Amino acid sequence: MHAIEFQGLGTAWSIAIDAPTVPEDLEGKIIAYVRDFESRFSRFLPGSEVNAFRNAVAGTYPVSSEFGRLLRRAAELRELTGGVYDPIVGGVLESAGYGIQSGAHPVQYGVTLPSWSIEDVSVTLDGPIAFDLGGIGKGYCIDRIADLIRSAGCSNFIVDGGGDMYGTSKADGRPWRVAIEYPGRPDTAAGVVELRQAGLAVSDSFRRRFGQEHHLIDLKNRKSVMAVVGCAAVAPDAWAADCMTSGLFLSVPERYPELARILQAAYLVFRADGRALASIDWEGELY
Amino acid sequence: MQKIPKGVVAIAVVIVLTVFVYYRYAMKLFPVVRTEAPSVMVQEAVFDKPREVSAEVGYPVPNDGYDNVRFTLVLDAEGAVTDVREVAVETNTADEHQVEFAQGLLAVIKGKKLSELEPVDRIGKSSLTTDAFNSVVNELQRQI
Repeated sequence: MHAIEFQGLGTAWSIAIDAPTVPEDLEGKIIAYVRDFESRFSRFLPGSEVNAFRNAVAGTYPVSSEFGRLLRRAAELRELTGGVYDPIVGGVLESAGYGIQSGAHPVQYGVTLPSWSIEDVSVTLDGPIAFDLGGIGKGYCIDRIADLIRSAGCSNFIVDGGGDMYGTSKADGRPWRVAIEYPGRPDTAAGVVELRQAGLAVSDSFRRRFGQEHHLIDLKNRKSVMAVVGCAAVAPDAWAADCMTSGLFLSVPERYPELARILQAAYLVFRADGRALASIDWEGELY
Repeated sequence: MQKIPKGVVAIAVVIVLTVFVYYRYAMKLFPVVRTEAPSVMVQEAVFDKPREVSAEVGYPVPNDGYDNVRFTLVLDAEGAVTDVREVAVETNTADEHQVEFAQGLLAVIKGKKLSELEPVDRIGKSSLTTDAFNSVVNELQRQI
């Protein structure tokens, strides 16, 4: 088993390739791709592609083919979540004075919330926009690394990008056996899945990590509601799984089936009462 | 850890929502056009019915903390804002009846200690994706 490990996108990557030999230049190619991805799509780097429109005037602009692909998927997810997911969101509070990172002056959304659309590799926007691909970027990166491994002639591998992953199978044909961490409980598994030509994403919340609580204000209904504390998704690739978990967090339950159908994902949604909703097609043990 | 005062954040939301009404009358939303097609056509977005718009943002707080909050504006069919909600990411609401109605199984999951499991190859877990990009800046600053 050949291991490739490195830090990238702020997390620890671990790749296992089940083959007797692996091309020498593969590790370098993978790391180079990740570094390039970071510099192009991090919203905290002033020169990144996602920040190219922080001072833009309304108009239609060309984007790179990768950015175009990412934006087209973001637009699709925006549609599937009824507009709740939108990669422009980073700028909303930034305009109000929060979340400004060093080196980038704040985007000004001014008096109107910007809108944007993407067609092929042309993005049309009606004012300055700061894009944030958090929530869909990592899965995409995992899949591109899988492509690099495949084109190096290796077909049995698993790419683990800090807990989201894509696995083909082991050399003996068996699937990769992956425990799903119970959101917020690092030493506990909620279940186990078998990955065979499939991607997995697991998501929980930041707030629990930092030990802060935030009061839920549901002004309309004024009733106690069941909190979603985390979710997991298995899909044909890591990008779809990543998009699925983002969609699950930002959707009402009525939208889950359509999301799952478009992204071809099975999913788990963990509730605060210790129960979890598993889609009908969820496979694997649950504890 | 010091939090950004809720009142100030709420004012930011009020600013956004009160001018969003102006935005609805002054600007036309661009239609969403899909060019990648897995299997199903997605209809053009037509925002003339009640809907919600949500902004989920993470922002740094003093002492290297990180805060995450989501604002949701509820719009009626004319695009006027009828409600605003501030929701923490992990308290995304799921109405009990709706969750049980969805096609699936609702199971009590107690979890098992990893040490009690048959050996696994990997552990799937959450990583702080937004923090991931954040830390690239830290690395760059260290290099300066």
